[in-house]
Amino acid sequence: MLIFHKSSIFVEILLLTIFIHMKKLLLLSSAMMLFAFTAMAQKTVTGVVLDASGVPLPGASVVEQGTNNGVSTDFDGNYSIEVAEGSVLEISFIGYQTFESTIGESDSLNVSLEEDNQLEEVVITALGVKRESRSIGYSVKTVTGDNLEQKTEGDIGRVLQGQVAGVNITNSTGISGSGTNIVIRGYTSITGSNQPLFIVDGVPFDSSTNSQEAFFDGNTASSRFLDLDPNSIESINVLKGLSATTLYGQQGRNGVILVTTKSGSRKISAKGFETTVSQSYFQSTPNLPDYQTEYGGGFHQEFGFYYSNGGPNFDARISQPSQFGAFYRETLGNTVYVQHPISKINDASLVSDPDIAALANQNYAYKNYDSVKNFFRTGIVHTTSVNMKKTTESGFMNLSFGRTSDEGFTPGNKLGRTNISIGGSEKLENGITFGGTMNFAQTNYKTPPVSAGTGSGVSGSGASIFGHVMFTPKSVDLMNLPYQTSDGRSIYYRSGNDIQNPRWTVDNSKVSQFVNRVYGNVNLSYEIIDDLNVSYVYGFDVYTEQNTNGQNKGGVDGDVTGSYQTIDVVNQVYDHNVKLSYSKAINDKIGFQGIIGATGRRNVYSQNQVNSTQQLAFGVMKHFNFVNQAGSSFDSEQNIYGVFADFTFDYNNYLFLNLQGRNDQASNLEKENNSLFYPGGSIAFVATDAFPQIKSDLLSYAKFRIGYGNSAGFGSTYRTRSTLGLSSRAFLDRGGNVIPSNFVSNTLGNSELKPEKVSEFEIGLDMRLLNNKLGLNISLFDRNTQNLITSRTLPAASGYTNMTINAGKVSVQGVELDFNYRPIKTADFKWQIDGNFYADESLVEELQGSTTEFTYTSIIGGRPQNFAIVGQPLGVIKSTTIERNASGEALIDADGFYVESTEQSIVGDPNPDWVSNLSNTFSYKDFSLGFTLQYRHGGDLFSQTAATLVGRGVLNPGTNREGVYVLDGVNESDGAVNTTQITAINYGFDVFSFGPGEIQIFDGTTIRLSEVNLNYNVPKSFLEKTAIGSLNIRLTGSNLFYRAVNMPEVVNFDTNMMSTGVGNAQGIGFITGPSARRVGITVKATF
Amino acid sequence: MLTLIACETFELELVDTPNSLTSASADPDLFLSSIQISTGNFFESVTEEGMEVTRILHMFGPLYRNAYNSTQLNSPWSTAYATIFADIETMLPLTDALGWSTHSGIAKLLKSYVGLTLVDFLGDVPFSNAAQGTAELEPSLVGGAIVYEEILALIQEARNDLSVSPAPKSPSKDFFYGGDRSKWIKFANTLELKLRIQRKLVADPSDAAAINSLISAGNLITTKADDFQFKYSTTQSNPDSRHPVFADNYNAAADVADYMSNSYMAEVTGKTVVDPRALYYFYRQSDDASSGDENEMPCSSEDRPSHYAPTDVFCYIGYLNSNVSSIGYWGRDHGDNDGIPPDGGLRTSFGLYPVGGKFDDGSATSVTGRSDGLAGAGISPIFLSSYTHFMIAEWQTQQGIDARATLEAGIRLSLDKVINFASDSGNPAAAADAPDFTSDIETYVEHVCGASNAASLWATSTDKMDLIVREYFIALFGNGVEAYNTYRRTGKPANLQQTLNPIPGEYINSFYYPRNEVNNNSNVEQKATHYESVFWAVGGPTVN
Repeated sequence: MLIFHKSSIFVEILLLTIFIHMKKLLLLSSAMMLFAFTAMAQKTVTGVVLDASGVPLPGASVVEQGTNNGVSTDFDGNYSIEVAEGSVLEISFIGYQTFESTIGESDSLNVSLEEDNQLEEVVITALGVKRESRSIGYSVKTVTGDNLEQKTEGDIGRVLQGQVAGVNITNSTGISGSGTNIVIRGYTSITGSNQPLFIVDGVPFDSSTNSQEAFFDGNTASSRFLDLDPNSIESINVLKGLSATTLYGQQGRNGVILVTTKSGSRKISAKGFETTVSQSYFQSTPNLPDYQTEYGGGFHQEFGFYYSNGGPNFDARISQPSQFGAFYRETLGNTVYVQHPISKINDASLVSDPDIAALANQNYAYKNYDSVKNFFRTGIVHTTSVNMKKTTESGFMNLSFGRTSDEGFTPGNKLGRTNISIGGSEKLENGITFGGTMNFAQTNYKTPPVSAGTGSGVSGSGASIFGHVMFTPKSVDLMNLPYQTSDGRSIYYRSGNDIQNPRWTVDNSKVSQFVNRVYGNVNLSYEIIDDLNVSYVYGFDVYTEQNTNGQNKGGVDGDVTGSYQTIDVVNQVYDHNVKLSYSKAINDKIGFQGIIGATGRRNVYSQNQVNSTQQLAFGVMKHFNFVNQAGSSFDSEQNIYGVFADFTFDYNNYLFLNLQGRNDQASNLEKENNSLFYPGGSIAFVATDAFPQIKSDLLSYAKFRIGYGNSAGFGSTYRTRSTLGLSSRAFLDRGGNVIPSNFVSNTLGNSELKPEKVSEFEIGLDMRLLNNKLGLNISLFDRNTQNLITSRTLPAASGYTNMTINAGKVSVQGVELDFNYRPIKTADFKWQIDGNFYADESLVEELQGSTTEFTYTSIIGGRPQNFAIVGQPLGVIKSTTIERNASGEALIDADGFYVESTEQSIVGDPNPDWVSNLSNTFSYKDFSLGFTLQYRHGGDLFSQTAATLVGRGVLNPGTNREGVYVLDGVNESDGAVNTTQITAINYGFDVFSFGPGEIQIFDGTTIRLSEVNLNYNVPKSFLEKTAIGSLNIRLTGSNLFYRAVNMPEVVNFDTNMMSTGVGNAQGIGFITGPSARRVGITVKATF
Repeated sequence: MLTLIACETFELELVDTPNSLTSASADPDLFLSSIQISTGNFFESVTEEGMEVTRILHMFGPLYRNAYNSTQLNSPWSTAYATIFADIETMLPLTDALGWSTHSGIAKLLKSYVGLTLVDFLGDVPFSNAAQGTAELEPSLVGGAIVYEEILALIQEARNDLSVSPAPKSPSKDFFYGGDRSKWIKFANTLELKLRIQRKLVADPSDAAAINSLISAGNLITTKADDFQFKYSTTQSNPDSRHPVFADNYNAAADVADYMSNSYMAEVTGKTVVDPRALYYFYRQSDDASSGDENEMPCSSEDRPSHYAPTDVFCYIGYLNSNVSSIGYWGRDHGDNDGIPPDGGLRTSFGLYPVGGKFDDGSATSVTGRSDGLAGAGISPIFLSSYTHFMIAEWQTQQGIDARATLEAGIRLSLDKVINFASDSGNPAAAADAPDFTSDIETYVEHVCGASNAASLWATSTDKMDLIVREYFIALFGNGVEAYNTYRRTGKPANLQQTLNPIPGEYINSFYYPRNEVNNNSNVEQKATHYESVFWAVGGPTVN
């Protein structure tokens, strides 16, 4: 312990306290034993208490019947007790049937307890400590392997979607492998991360999304929990509240997702079930808008090769040749033929290839080509997973292998992943238990680029595969027009050739991430004396992430000379954790468990980047093939260490008191500000055990709990000191001289920066009703922040543009409800309902000084942004609005359009009012059928997709496109009622699509059928003569139906997409493509 | 177990970033480079708005209130304060300590120019209280008239710095004058002249005498060699050092980004004599603007707005003067906010001057891309010698002095600058197709203000101020700062093309404060409307 220089005093005090305490306890128990010994002839009985599946039960009570003599089992389920021969030993554990046995001659009694209606679970809490769920004073949700395996998504984040109340998970795009946003109990940090901590087999696991900002434009990078194979996971515990996560220190401030892999779990597999093999095949298809089929490209019913789809009717019996102007060629049947778009290309060099030039003289059929649907493909997902496990009395060994290949529905998108994992644990004769896991993951992800589509191209400097596809005019034959010239240039239907052909993008523009990752842990534990255990865990997680982003020369978006960028990231996390645990029943009424420990964590991130431009040979994506290169690098290291203590007392197994504290120190703040202590605690009270008389047929079980917890945040590295800007190549003058420059960095250092603190108060009630048929867990929480570390945008007049400050208070209050109901349970038929409900309200209470609002998302072409505004929920959306007079009437300009406000006002709150999930499972004999519904109420969103698709006329939202409209309002000039007519096409384009921002804000209420599955377990009788222990076939469909009820139905918009990627932006949607619908089959066999 | 724990895990002070230098490495020479480059950036990020509201370039509109929202000037504002001013604040103590007063003088003049421009576009702005970092995180607005006074003092300081004897170390890189201190002093004097003439409507009593003495001393930017301009090169990347407007409009073949203003093209080409500058300012990709396909030019099928005066050009030029070669000048009308038709390879684009694009040889072909013309080796014409003359001509006219000769000098300087632009930048081949314009120049000068031409516009004009400013505007292509100022100061040129929308609202007398500043600086309130005038225009002419 001497190595902990800085906090050694704290540690010593803790140690002293615990040792003094232990001495007292030891003294007490020896005295009791002495007393017992003097009473009758004694012997020592030892044994292990396991559950039916062989999992050790720690903390089980072993009592000599009718006496005060009792012990509880240790972490491995072992006990040792002095009892009189012939006495009766009573072994009990909540949730299991009590076992009684008369002590005979044997000195050993190993017991396997039968579950008692499966009421009481053992849950894994912070630092891997198993506790009976009844003893916990906060809400923990366990998701077991059954709900994680064989899913259509290979991303564990997406698999968890909807399974846990209070955990909000959104996809960034429908691209396979793209990032996933996870937020537990609402956003509390304005500019810091709100993403939870992943702990895999007891050690931290980096789950960052290394968005290369402008490079990816924020929304294609994978979230690194993608490297986990859901099929290899035994269970996941979600620790939501801070009273549950205090021991994880600052990393746990946003909640903890505790993953136990099969390689890290000791769960026993029976003979014949030791090997599991599963094979899945899924198909994914895009959820596309319902495109109209009657009209093609043009404006005001006049044909033209525009982006807009306001042209004549396809049916020549309805349209007139005059509507085609000079383009008109002939009418054959019901189809009009027009001049070929190739004949209109301005740049003659684009159409010089003979096969392209030949098209110029051909007539082009004006009809519905349905190009968008044809552009996408059916995605295919194959998943193979093999797991082998052997458990013995003293240990276990596990090997898993997983392979996923996911070809997305977007051409050019592919995700491949291989996972290999081995783990085991063994107890030596000398009492030392050693174990560890070693995991290897390789993830290979490719996609065409996706950047923010604004409905008229893309914002920023990159290309976007979806930016132009989604609103392709119906009369554009995307799949048959030429898309690439012989010299490699993009060519499309517009005469100015100002849109990059999406097929060219697929062939020539690519973003990739290739990850090799090794992670795992080594653990040792030793029982120093009875009930006192010391353990050490060393965790490591190292990955390299090779990012590339390149586009061949000849494009329209991005650098037309060709560009190639490589970014090599190395991320390392090392974690040490030492803890001393003590567990003792003080008497048969009072029990005690105590843990003290220390951790040290080191994060090292480094990236090297090379950008090249001006490609030489077309098609070769290597730096040597580019004229210009520029390199840069970024490094960051951070050490955090903490000491912690956790004491739990229980009284009569119905009242539990937990007290905890942790002190964190982090290397990235100045010395005087780099340490923070924070306490936590909780009480659990099982009322139905304290007052058994209240139990009835209605009420089977009731527990009240109350918890208070804190956590810290130290922010990211290097925010305390100002730096000097250096540009080694600021300019190249006409003489070819490189001019370097120094400049003041726009970021002002803040040497006063302190850790932020988050506190949470939580109360809850867990109940089982109706003879245990109905289970209910309800929690209310109130979370508050203090000294929030916020990246503040400074007014540029200060000379700087940003600074990291301690400012702001954000509070979130919420309610969570999980329930399960088993209305029918017969031998053959079972009906099971599981559901959850979550609602929260956030409030920005204070920002720095006199500042009352600021935005923390970037301006993209004047589109709406999220704001932190005092007195408002965090993230409210501001945008331009329709200018109104004092009586609220819209002002209309001389052309009949809304007058747009010059300033932004609040137009929406992106936080859903509440969300709920409901799943039903019906089992009949060997069949089961399950389906899950999700409902989101409210939550406003800005949808560029809806605005553009409706505004550009590729959808028909039920308006008459040949009609005229008069906007409700009064003339700005004279206040008279507006009578100026505008056309439907103008209404779509100038009002709906590109008019004041408030028009493009929609309510996000959505109902969704998120999953349907049909299971068949092949009866054992069929398998008896084979080597197969069990065989299961499952058909699954996910995201089969959804409907955002307050948006134009034809848009078919999926509100679960977050086109701003992983981060704090909410409800800001650009054109980032469709979401996926997946269906498929899985076969799983055990041997 | 303990040996596994490497010592570095417990290092608890990792606060200095390995990714940047610290202030100990600061080099004033490198700072001055950043300040100069950023001044070029600053100019380019405001000049376009200035040209748009004065119809030199096309403005989208449709209403004045919608034409520019408050995010429009975020970027120049941030460049001015967080880069230029912040760099100067950091550099001056270093150069003072070293005695490098030439560096200090140059920095103070650039700060003066930027400060004047901020006042001219926005009104009251932070100035001496700006860029102070933690000492003043949210600086207040300072009255524009006060800022002008502060700048006057700063210019004097700069002149002193630039007159130190013996000459201190020259800057390692002087983008403007190659280290020639006498030219910097001319710039200082011209800046003072500009400042004092700018506020003539709210005149300080001392200004007239000061202006007259600056003019008579003559130590101003009066020859091409004195032109205050930032030169770009042809380097495309690492970093892109081309003229930013060229980079936008000559990025790929037939994919032009901006629209020219019909009104301005008519102004340049609309005389009965040839103005050779038209072929340098504008590059016509098509010779067929008058019969534009409505698919490509939607206005060609629309009715001429009833509120347009007969003098207003509409949709395409040629409408007014069919006798000159205005064919193919394909632009847009003031405030036309239609969607973008597929005209990227057809509409008229920027030419050779000043952005370094293509000379208009009449071939009417689409731009081919990055290697066209001067390949981006253009200039930011921040203050040219011709401008000095036009400004003096304006002053003389107001004082009742005959300004004909001054006007002629301005016109000749402008023509000379533009016509010789390719050869002066060392690449005469870029204008190899240009005919000899010597006689056209004489004809032009003769037509406008020939000394003995009784039929000249000068001789027949009843509004000499309008004539002078019209010629000034023609010379100002590329400089929206002086155009916007001159328009609001003089109310000329009169009768510029109206917006397409008949009720566009009041003119943009000043721009909104940048949203970033208003949202983050509690001492800066957004102005009530965009028609608040800056201090020197109060009581001045009403423009629209």
